[in-house]
Amino acid sequence: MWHFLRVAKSTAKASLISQWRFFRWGGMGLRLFPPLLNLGVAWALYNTLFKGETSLDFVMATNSSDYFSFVLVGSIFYVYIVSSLFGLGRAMFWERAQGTIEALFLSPMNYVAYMIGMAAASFITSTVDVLLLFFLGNVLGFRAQHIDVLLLIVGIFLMLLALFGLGLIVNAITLTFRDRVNTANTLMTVLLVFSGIVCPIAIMPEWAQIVSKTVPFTYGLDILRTALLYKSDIANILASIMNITLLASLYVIIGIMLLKRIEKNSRKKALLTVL
Amino acid sequence: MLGSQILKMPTFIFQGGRKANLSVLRVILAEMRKNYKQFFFTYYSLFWVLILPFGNGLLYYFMYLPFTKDYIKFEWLGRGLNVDIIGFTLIGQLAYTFFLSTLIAAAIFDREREQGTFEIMLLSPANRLAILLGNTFGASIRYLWLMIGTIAIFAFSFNVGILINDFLAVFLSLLLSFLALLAFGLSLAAFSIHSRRGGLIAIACQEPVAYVSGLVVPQNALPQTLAQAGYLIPLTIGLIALRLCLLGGVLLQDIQLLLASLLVMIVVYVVLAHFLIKIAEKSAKAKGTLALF
Amino acid sequence: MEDIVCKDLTRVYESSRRKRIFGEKIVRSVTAVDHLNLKVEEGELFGLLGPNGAGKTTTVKMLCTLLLPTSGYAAVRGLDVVKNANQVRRIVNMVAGGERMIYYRLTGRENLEYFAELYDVPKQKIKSRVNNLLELVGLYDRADDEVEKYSKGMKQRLQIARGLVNDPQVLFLDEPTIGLDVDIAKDIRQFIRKRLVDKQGKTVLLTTHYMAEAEEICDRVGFLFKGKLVALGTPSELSRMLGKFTTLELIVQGVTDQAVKGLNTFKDIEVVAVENVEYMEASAFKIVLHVTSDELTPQTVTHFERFGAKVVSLNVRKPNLEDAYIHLSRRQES
Repeated sequence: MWHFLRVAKSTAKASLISQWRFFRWGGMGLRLFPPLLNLGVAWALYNTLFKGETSLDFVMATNSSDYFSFVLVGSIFYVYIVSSLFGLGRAMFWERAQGTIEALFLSPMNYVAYMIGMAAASFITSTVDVLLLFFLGNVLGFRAQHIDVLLLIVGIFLMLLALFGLGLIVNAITLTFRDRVNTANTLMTVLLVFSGIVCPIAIMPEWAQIVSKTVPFTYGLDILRTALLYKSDIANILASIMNITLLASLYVIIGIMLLKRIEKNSRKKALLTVL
Repeated sequence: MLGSQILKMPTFIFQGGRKANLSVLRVILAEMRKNYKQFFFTYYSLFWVLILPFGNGLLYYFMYLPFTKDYIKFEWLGRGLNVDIIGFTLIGQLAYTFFLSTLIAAAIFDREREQGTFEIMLLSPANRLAILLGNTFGASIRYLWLMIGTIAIFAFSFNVGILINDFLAVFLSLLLSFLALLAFGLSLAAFSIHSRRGGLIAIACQEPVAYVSGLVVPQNALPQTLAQAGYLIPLTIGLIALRLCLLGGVLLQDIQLLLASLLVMIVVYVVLAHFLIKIAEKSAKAKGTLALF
Repeated sequence: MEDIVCKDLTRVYESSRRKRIFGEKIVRSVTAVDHLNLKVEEGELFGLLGPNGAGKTTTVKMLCTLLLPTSGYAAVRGLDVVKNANQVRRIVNMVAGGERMIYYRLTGRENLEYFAELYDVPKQKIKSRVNNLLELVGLYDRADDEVEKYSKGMKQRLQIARGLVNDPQVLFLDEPTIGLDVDIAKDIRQFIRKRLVDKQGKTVLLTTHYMAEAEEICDRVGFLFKGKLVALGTPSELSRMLGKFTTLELIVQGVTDQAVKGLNTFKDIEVVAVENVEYMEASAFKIVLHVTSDELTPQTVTHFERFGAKVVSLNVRKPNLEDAYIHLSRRQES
């Protein structure tokens, strides 16, 4: 158990140091640009193009006409999605590209501990970005109706669990298919579209709503928006909590199974160092 | 002085003469082949990158749904047009996909540097601009099929409201936008030589360019400073021209200013690329390194 | 006690490709290690020699659990490398040649501390062990510089320190001196022999294709050729395999192709190498021969003179490991 924690802690530390030394402040810029684009577009659409007038469908779906605040909460979570996909999702790919994957596989470390460490590093850097985004959002017009702290903590925890599972699965895909960027880039866009980050699920086309129901982040965002923006029926929130818990657990279990499988396959088919 | 240098450019860049031009063509084709083999080698990557532009296009369409489902107001030089959202989004996504492909060339040089093949490439007697052009062009050609796929999926999924009254205007808009974006990508690739993080810098440009170019939101809805900054980028001008003649049914005379701007941009960015390469080579001879920062 | 045991250890690599899209799949199999039987005693420095592609690295990777064998059995300190992989990882480590397996953006110290955590080195021992290792490999003064700024030799020394961070009982060194300066390579060899094996009693399996290196420090060597162990013994035993041969090294001026080819008419002379050299600022050829009897030595000199060449230097010596290796390789190829 202690070894497990030590591996996670030291991996997080090493990852944070490496990231800082490679990217410096530029890294923050790179990570923030995608959510800033969403925010910038949301601001321009809401304030300038449509002059604060949202459609009736939007108001009925969200009990509010504040599109900018709606997108800000989504964008904050999007920061975590991006870091999960690009940080955690390509962790072992980068180890292989750097030539350090053999050194890791040589050691008796637990791979799940390693991935938890990488996830923790991603979470820490993302949280700094989120705080900045939150500050900027407040300057540009974000208005929290009320803050339910307990629900917020539960929502963030469950979202992070789901992201961890997603990161494990993407890690397996990028390692197996030797894919540098396509998987992460594409999933990032797909999740952005179908999680309800920029548009309420209720007003999307029917086929898009069906897809959204399979994405755990849809329910997670529902919880976060309820915690920060508007009240919702307790039964609805419980349903969202249950759905995201189930889906997140499924992602994590599948991710761990895939991790063990690719570890075994890499040794069997000598793919450890094949880029 | 600058004027005479620009006049000498075609000969200077391509070393003059039919024989030199043929070797430049060989370099371009060789770079394109290498680009294709190295960076686009699996069916898996073909599958994913087809979904990406469609996903982006959907994203931008969904951003409009909380406001309207049909038309948005698109203004140019005081003239307002109601354009179909799907068409607006689709054209934006196609042009942006092509623009992204030109950014990839800069990122490719980062990878060449990592692998240690970058300096070897520049040690060869191959024309520098031809190397850059081959990489940029190769990346662009690869993305061409993505654009075709995106059009097909969008056309299948939605009713796209296209209105064309002048096919020559459409053709010239497409051609000049394509060339201007290529030239822009060339200068970005030339810039990326100067830094060990050049590719990262180019990739970091994606979102700011997407915003100021009017990709998602029309220029008239952006803050004025940002909108004006956007006019320096060929993507902005190209998008306006393409949207006007594909969705608004405008004629050639209505977009003459835009086409002229694209032409000027082509020249400016190619010249910039040439000078950036020269500076890099001069630095290499003086300091032994191509990277300036 | 035998620290390393291999019984019929085999590894086959399979690769497939299609000539065209949707074309037929072509599968290729390569047997990198072919029924290897090997034992390395505790505290022994064993050299595994062979040309590129012989299976040395594959053998090492199987023994340190980076690769699964296709068939056969291997054990380190009695622990099966397949069934008890995690336990094996705690007691072994590997150092590879080249600049891999270390993090460039971390400092030397940070690298060692990180790997110490991965290997579950007791927390209270990490600081002192890392400092000792840095002193041992001569990197203490540069410990807090990023590895990116290290020279090649320094990176290799850091790799060795990383390979010792868990104080392994069995250490695998895969061409550890490749690409290094002569003096640094020598220091590393002496370090391996004197500190690791003689003083600390570690078992070391070293792969190399520098014969002189194996001859200098190894207790025993094995020759791998196309995955098979073709010879096994001490360096002097293997050299004595060619016992009936004497090695002649001649420097000849004015030699022609005809003269060299003419040597093939002698039954008991084997031409080993012919290379251009400079002798007293003039062009010449160094010709290395194996001859079965001492009587052939003057006959060889006479042969060259008959073709108008001049033998300006002659060195007669007993065969060394390199000679044995070349002889064996040729025998295998034929």
